[in-house]
Amino acid sequence: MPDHLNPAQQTAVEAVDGPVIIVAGPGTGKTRTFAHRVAYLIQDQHVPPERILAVTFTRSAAAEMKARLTGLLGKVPDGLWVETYHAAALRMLREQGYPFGPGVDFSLIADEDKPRLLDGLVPRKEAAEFLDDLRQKKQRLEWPEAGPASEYQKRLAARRQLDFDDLFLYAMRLFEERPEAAATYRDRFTHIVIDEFQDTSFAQYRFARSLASHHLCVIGDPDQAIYGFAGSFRAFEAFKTDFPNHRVCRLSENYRSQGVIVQAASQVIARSSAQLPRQLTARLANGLPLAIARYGTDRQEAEMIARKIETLLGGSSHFAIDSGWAQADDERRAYGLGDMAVLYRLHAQARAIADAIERAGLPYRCYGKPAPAEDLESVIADDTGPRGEAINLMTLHRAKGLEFPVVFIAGCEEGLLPYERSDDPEEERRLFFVGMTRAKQRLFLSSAAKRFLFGKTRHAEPSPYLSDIQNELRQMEEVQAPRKPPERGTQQSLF
Amino acid sequence: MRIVADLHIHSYLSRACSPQLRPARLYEWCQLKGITALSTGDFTHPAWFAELRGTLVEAEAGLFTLKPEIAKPVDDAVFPSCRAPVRFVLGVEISCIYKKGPRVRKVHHLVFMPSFEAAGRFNADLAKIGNIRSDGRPILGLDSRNLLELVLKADPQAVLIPAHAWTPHFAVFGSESGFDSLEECFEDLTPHIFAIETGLSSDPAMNWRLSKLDGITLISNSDAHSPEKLAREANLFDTELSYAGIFDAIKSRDGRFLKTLEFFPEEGKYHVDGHRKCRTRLDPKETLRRNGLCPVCGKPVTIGVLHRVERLADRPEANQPAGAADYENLIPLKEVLGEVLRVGPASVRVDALYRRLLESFGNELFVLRELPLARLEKEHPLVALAVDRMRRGKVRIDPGYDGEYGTISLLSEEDLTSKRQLALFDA
Repeated sequence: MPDHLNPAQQTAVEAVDGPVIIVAGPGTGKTRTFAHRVAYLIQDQHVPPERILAVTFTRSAAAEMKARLTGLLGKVPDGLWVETYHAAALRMLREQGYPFGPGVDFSLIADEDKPRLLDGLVPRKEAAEFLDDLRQKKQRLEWPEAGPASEYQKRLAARRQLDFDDLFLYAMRLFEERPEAAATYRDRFTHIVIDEFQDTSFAQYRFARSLASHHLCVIGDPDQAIYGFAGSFRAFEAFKTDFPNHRVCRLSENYRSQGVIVQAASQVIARSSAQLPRQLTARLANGLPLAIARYGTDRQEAEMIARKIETLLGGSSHFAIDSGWAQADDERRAYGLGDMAVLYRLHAQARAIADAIERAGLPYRCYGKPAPAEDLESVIADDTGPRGEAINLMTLHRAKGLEFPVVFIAGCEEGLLPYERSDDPEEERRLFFVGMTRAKQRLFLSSAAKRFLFGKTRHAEPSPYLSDIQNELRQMEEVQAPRKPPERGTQQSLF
Repeated sequence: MRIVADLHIHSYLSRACSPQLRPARLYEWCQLKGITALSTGDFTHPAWFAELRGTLVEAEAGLFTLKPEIAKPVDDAVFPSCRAPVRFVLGVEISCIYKKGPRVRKVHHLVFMPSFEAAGRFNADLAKIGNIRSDGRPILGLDSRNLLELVLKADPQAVLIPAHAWTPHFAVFGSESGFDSLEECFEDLTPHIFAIETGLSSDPAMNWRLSKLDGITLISNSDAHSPEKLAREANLFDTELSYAGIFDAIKSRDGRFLKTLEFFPEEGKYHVDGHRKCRTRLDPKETLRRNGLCPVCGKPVTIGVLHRVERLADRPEANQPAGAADYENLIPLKEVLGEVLRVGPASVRVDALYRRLLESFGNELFVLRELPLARLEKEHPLVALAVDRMRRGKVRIDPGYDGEYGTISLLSEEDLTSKRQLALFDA
């Protein structure tokens, strides 16, 4: 990425008046533009920092934003809020002494403590489904009125606890009960900037809207909206309706990925309906073609991914190099362990891949499901002591907002991509688009003809998304299961 | 006492290693080879750690021996001429793969612990960071400096020594993924590095061309992946038989570390430059003339140890620093016998002669280094001639490159034909 902002980024930074949508495709410098915009408000527009609320999607994104602001301004200015939605709501509730009264603090309930709270209310087996349902209701700002949900709510309150989704319910109730509290924040935050707007839930949107008085800027990419199942709604559509006088700025120059990756990803997303006009152009050279491979089984797929990783490391042992096990790669450079990520649609796919990497003796880190509000991880103590670099294994969802020099997407098959149990095929396509655009230099897409999943062996054709990618962008690799040697009996019978 | 120590080997649980690498076999082979103290290798692997705990007992501080009931039948089977006490020291090789600056670094280190308790603490720390279950030589995504920090934390007597320091792919000074100095690698903890392992492809004289290594002790080990390779390089001490006796001798440079026993460095797999696949061997000067590119495929060649030393050296000639141990070059006895008998070193005939010599005279290192030639001449004149040439360094070598061992010869066609008749009687 160049030192200076490109003209589109510059325009987006300086469009400070009124409601603004910044549509930022993957790798177009969204975070950078966001940070520059905040710095521009403070430095050039002389907006006092305490009048600015910057909302990020995750806590790590907030940390990165603060680091960038430190780079631009020398420090994070006092009074500026850089928070996730959840953290902003939490901070306001605490400031206002709500809902338990001034000076009465509360905590957030950990996920693992929730089922215990449901004892006697919901059969244990149904707890997960119950909580999921409740969560979705809360994300639509529906208060539990009766039944076990309301009882659960009472038990939480008795423990002076809230769950993550309660934050917005209570914040909205606070603003209703005490309009002066809402006014305080509306007056204070003359400038609000929101990142990853496409994944904003209804509750979060209403919360943000009730704070917005003057200048509201939302940044995101409708093509990367992948959290529909977690209660997000068409946030950009709502914004366009509620703020009809909005302006649209567009960032379309991708600085992250090699040209072929950008082109292939664009070909995949082109098949989905656009909520806002889309455009994505690569700024980097084409690079090496995408590798699309078809394997006999999921085990074989995992084995070949591990082997390719070893190759990309430049060989991880004398044995691998001297025996030719780590084959020469087209690119003569070595990637680090942390440069590589293996992405998949379902957690259940991780085992085979982790096992193969483990057999190769390489370190990996398998990321679990993101906590419902990963952004409030502050309750979880960070690991201390040195952590080694490792190959990253995670779901496509989890990879949102990240980038890696090398990305493998495993299980590019019908049934998995799109996932057969998803009720939103458009979102599945966006998810694949998000996965592809995580890759900077190399992208490997693979599928298996036979896969063992959830206790069953299933047969599947390659994902239909693969056929949207033009042939000239890719290198095909057909791998068959090793042929069995002819049996002795049949050979002898020939004579 | 005189101690021969081989401080870098692997167990059967390391990748591409012989299933023979188990405690009893190692104990047996140490006696055949003439090793007093052997690294256990691989102590971070949970299964090997458990096996070591179950088979070893402490003999001296920090040194272990095989439990008597396991040792007895092995001792009984070893030629009486070779029988000698054997000790184990807890050691492991760890592969660190990590990014420092823009480059990927791949560096191997030897780690030693003075007790099972210390090793256990260290293993517990590593298990939190990475995977130590899959390979006896674990691969960790850990910065070398941070590994050293964990080593030092485990025990005040714990030691880290960079392994085969010059090999291109996995070494602290390696051309492909190493560093130009120990300071770059270990930063503030560099003072804790008091030794490096020279590896098969370099010898002390090559290292003496770097003034910045003047205070660093050079050790040599076999890095054996099968028992027969034990002691192809080793260290000779005159020190107290204990963990501290060995490592203090390495550290203090007070004369207790007598010498290293070395491969002829040209025989090592990475001595000069080249491309194994293209069968191209290049002298470093030739590599420079060709801008580092292979004349066959046009891609950059693998830069060998000789070239790399030349690049980092600040002295035109080797200059043995004060306190530095001597060295002598050896060729494994089976290779010598293979040349004499004109068969492969792994052949049955070589093995038979090997065992006969050991039974008659004593362990392999004794035969190679100390056995009076007159006695050997009576047994086998051609072997005596070859051993004499080896001892005097009269060898002809096609140097190794890019993973291909060098080939070494002691005898000429003339030697072989004129003494052929005699040799035939004995073979």
